[in-house]
Amino acid sequence: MLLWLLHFFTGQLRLRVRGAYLERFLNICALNGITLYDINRIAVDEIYVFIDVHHFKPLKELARKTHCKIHILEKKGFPFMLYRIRGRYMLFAGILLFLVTVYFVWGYIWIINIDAPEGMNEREIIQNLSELGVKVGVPVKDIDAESIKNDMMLKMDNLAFFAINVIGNEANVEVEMRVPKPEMMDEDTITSIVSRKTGVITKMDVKGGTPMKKVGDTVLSGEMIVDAKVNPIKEIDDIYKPMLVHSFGDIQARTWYNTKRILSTKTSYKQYTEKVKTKYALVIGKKRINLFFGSGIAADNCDKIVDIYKVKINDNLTVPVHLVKQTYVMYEKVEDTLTADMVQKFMEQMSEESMKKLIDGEILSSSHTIYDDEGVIVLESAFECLENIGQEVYDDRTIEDINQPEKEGQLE
Amino acid sequence: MDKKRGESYISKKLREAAESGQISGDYAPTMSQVEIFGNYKIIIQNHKGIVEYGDTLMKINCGKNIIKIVGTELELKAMNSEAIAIVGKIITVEYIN
Repeated sequence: MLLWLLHFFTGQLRLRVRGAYLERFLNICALNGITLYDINRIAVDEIYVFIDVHHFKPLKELARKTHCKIHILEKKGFPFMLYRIRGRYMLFAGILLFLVTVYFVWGYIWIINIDAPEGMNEREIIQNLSELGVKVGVPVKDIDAESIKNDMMLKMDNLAFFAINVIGNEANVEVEMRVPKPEMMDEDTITSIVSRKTGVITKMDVKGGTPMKKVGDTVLSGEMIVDAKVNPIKEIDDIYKPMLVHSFGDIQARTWYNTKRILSTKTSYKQYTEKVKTKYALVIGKKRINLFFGSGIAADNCDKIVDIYKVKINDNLTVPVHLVKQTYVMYEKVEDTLTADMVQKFMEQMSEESMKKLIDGEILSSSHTIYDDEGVIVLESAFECLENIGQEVYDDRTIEDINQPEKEGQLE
Repeated sequence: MDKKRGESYISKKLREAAESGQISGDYAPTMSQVEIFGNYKIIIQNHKGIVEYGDTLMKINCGKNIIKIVGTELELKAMNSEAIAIVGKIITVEYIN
């Protein structure tokens, strides 16, 4: 294969050699450094032979010396091909254009893919990348992944991981968001546990502090459940005195909620007509060429669907020419009136979903009442829930405060 | 320089040493080397030219002796001053002194 390529680029000649002393001719050629290929004896005084183009001149001289006649049968290879097409300027222009296109397709970034988790602001990432020189149309060689990574980590505080991989003419950006550090409460901090909601306690798992309530008790919102003050077991002498501790534990209670959800009976929906308009645009690199007259702004009563068709050579090599198809689907707004039966299930579901977000636990049971009331539909719901109601709060009392004799307070 | 044989004194001594088996033939630059691949290809290095050329018989001058190759559809695949490659169905290879 390599030899074939070499012969193709240097060019080869197929010769017919006639003479009485062909062996002598071959020996002289070899002695003078001319390499002969595929020597084929046709007759006693005739051979066919291949030689490299640059050996033709000395060969002619040697043939004359050995009284042989040479005749060119075939010219093969790139130099002869080039000679044949020398007048076809448009072909050369096409080849040049092709090479330039290949250079632009391979050498520049045309696609930036961002793989970011949900909740991450992709626009901010694109803007920061653009400021650091990573944008569509920049040369691939100008992208220093390591330095961009460092700069991005410094620019954006909420990044935990950043990587940019350039494959072909695509830059793939991978981003991971930093998980915010949870608020940590120091174990030495003096805290009590109060109730966040009003309910009936079903379970108490107190690991620190003095329980002020027991299972089955009813607590109001803000009422203390576990006190930070711990009394000594034995009050023999002054060594044992009440102290303040960090109260913590798990307090579960049954809670009840009543909610009201209102929905207007008047509504409207889209009824699509059969009228559909399609407009095309061509995007070459960063330049957009609209293949239609007027603007591409959608009217009020239509949906605009944009499809982008990319030309891909392989998975990582995209041609920077995209076809943009804009489809406008026309619709008419139709007014309608809702009834309670139609929306009951939907409203109940919505009500339960919002309740789940509100509580730190689970819904045990629920009951709903739905009715029409002067142009609106009202859903009244009652929920019974089981949830964690304990909330740790800072206790600003000091040891001195709790060890003061009660008598003094009584006197005041 | 040995004018008759066209080789230097060192080359001559190396060739003699190689012929007597004291050193490998690779170290004798003027000594001809014959490589036979199955019965379809022969490469002869350090040849002195073709004596006879046909599609059933070929004689190659190797200086001290002549190599006679008998076969069918014999063909000179390539030839230069250093080596000759012969392909075809080889029947016998004979040395003629």
